[in-house]
Amino acid sequence: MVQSPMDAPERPFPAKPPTAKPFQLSDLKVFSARDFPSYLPKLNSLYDELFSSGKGFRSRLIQMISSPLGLRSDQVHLLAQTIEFIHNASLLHDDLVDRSALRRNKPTAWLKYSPEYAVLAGDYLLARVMVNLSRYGNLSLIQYTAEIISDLLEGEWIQDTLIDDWNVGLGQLDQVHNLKTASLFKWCLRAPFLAQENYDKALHELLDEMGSILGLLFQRSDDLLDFDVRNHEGKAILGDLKSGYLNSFGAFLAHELSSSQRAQLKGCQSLDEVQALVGPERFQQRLEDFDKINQQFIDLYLHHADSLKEMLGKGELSLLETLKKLPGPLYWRGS
Amino acid sequence: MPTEFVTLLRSEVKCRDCLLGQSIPHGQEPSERFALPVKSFAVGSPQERITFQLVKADEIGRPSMWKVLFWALRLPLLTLSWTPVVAVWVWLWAGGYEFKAQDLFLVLGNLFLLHMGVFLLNDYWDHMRGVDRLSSRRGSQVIQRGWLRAWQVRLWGWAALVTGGLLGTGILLWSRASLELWVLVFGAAFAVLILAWSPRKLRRWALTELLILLSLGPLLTCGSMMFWLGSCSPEIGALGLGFGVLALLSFHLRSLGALLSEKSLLGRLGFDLSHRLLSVEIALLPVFFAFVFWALGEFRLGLVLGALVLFVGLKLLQLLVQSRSSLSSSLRPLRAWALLMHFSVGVGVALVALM
Repeated sequence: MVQSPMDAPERPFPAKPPTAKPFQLSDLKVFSARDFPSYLPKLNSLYDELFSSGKGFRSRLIQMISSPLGLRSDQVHLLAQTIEFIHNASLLHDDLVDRSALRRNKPTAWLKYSPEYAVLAGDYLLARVMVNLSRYGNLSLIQYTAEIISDLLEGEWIQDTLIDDWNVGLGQLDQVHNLKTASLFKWCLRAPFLAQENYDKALHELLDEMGSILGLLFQRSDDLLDFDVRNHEGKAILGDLKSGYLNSFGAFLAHELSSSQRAQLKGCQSLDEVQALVGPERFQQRLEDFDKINQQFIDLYLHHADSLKEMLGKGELSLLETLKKLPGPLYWRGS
Repeated sequence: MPTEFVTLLRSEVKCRDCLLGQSIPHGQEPSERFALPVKSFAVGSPQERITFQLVKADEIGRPSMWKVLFWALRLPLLTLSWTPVVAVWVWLWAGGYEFKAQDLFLVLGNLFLLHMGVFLLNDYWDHMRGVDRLSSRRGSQVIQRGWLRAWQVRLWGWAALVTGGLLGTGILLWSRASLELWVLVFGAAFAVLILAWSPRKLRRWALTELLILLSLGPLLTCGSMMFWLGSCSPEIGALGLGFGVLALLSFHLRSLGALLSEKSLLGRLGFDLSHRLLSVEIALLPVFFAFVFWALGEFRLGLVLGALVLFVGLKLLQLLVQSRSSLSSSLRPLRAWALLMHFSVGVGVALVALM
């Protein structure tokens, strides 16, 4: 007999469980089959494949920020699970929207299972986020998480309208990325403080701005991979261009091209063709200009990190070193 | 060399100096440095802080002064005030009324000064209030990019506005303008000032639209005719309404591309409804011009204006149909085409008058 979720025994989220362990960086596993009903066929195998193949970068970011703030292990687990659930839900939906065949070198969920399952699995992750956070009981955290999910979806929606728009500018793309990519980074920076019940407005405004910059850098670095720049992971290139989407570096490169050259850019099938169109020296020059602009964003981020000093408690100052180490590797990708 | 930034409290004297564009001493370095405002935090509160990027004067990369003035003065928008006045002047002159060319140049010069004053001071006040920053990409950005100092913009803005105001008052006094004309002129000036410094709440209602329609429409054309002849005709009033509608169209097309970042009437209507309304508006414009002037007995004028508006309107519709969201690139040239439509109506009036 199918057990209704309403009949499930309540699992209250204790505010301060007596057995709560101090947090350690290596403990974390965001997905467990026990978190999802076993009576839904294929759900757990879908999630198992999804969560096991990811790098878990965002959950590690949560851990790195939570450690100096003295959050408990159950709080860190909740936050890490929340961000990974939101991120992976967006991947499930993205892959279906984009009709992508591969994710992390494996067949995408909508192809392997079905489009219906991919949509529902993504929706279910978002629903679990709301269940878990509402049991935790921090209203500000719930509200902020809901806003972030809303921003993420708005960014996705608007990004879809820019497919086949070959005259889109960097400014327009930044607005999309601020909604889509940056929102999760902002959440990673702010949520640990919200969990700590630190609602200082000035602090959160600054963290929001820093999260925006991190998101921008991450997205632009990802966009460079598409042009085989610092592509140490060997990711497939020109995927965005072939899908009809001009990413941030593409838009930057295309800014000075004529309409006929932009039309030719549409049809490029290899990086050699792109470089031949733009000119190899010009390509290199534009890359250097792009890197210079983004290095300025890194410098701005580091300046904001210094400003955080006066807003943190004495025991939290080690967070500054953690935050300062983020943007460089995020953008330069180990170069 | 890493880029340098500094964050200052709005209440600090140094912050005000940076905002005004004063140079900042830096140790023993001989070259001047300036602070470009990147981001404001807690805007409007006592804790407001501004982050500035420190750049050397020779690193600012200012383009030619012509380009700077082109952006700062929004020169393409000058057509919205000049074209109706010139069109009325040509229409009346071709109808047999005698004028001195210097009268027209005085009026156009006066309009230019007021235009310059309003836009420069608007840029200055938005910069000081924290609305325009490098990160927000609002306004002309000539101050935020360091091309002009804020104190220069303020100085030229006030000089232009005061000179324009005094010149305009002098013109009205010298021409012994009627009371109705005084009311019209000051009504238009008041409307423009409200538009330039209107609270954001007003922009969500139709008040902004009404002010644009009137101040860049009938108030301008009827005011011009009353200045020269002391009265206004229905044809000139109708022409003014047409120009006002076209000015409003230009404003709305710009708003359509800024729905994500600005609160406006179109923002309240939403992208889909605004998109449909503007498409219908553009499609009906040729009918409006043809019908109105046909009804007033000006058949040739109605035909020519209707044809011109139809010709440019088709291009506008093509671009509008291609746009799928507020960020679509096809929205960017729309405003230029709307200004071209506005200008072509003026050319059409002049051509018909001279034929």
